[in-house]
Amino acid sequence: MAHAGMLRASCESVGINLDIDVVVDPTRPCDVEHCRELIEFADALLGREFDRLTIARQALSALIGQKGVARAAAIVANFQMMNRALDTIGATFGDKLPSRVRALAESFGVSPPAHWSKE
Amino acid sequence: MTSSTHDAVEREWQRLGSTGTWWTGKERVAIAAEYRAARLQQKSTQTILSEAAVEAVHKIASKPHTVDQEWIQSCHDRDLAPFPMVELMAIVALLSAVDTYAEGIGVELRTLPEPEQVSPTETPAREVPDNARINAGWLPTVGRASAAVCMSAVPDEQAAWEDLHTHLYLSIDEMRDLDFTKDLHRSQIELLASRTSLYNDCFY
Repeated sequence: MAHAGMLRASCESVGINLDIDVVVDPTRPCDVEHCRELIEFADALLGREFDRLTIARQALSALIGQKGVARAAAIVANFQMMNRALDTIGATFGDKLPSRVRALAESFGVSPPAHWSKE
Repeated sequence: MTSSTHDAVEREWQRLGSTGTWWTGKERVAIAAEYRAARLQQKSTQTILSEAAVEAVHKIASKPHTVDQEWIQSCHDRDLAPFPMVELMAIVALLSAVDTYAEGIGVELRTLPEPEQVSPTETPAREVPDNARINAGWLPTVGRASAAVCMSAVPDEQAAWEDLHTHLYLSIDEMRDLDFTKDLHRSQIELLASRTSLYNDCFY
């Protein structure tokens, strides 16, 4: 949720059109440059579908070059690390679930874990 | 691979087989091997790790969103205490980044390093930071359990995390700039971050 919030904030700060639900549904409107190709690359990498990944990497490389692909891989890698760390230590945003986070979660159709649910 | 990212990955690799704060180099490499097995939905046929440690590696590797207070306590009851658990988590989390990055750029996963050779009398320091305690999470942290201090109960792991995080993602200063570009624009970076967290069912 934190980074979906940052995605929205980044887009708002520079006037990029975004339906935040693109995070859960890649067919939603999104003017983030190369949005579909980035999501396809992330999905193939996370799912370890290597044939699909090869195609996605080539497609992305044609658009943003090898340095861009390496950065995309680095971002996915970083959040593989962060997700494991945060869920293992039981991190939350605070004593209460912020209303903006709750709204974002509802938009995504995601329920907060029990330890996040305090009002 | 960009040189700064390559260097950060290399530094992490050099640490992996070294004596840690709570685990020996041999144990750290065994945790890494178990992580690699978990990625293939397998278990190592031979390991020096306890049953609780093997279970922890698999849970953190494959279903981290299912970790909860009760399970942490069940590990503690089986002699996997909170501070060693933090280091175990760090080994798994950092290696997950290194391996995902390699697969993302299309290079072979590196063979795990040989454990550091040490004298049998040389054991992990098992040092606890003065102010590390349970603080709103279920494992100890220095300060409230959050992203910035996620491995702070084991300072060497926290330092390694900060190094890798800065080079894979952004530094703290860079994070303040919503229009920042580092090969990708910030909006592209956060789209990838959000999609990854969704895939992992990480609510944070």
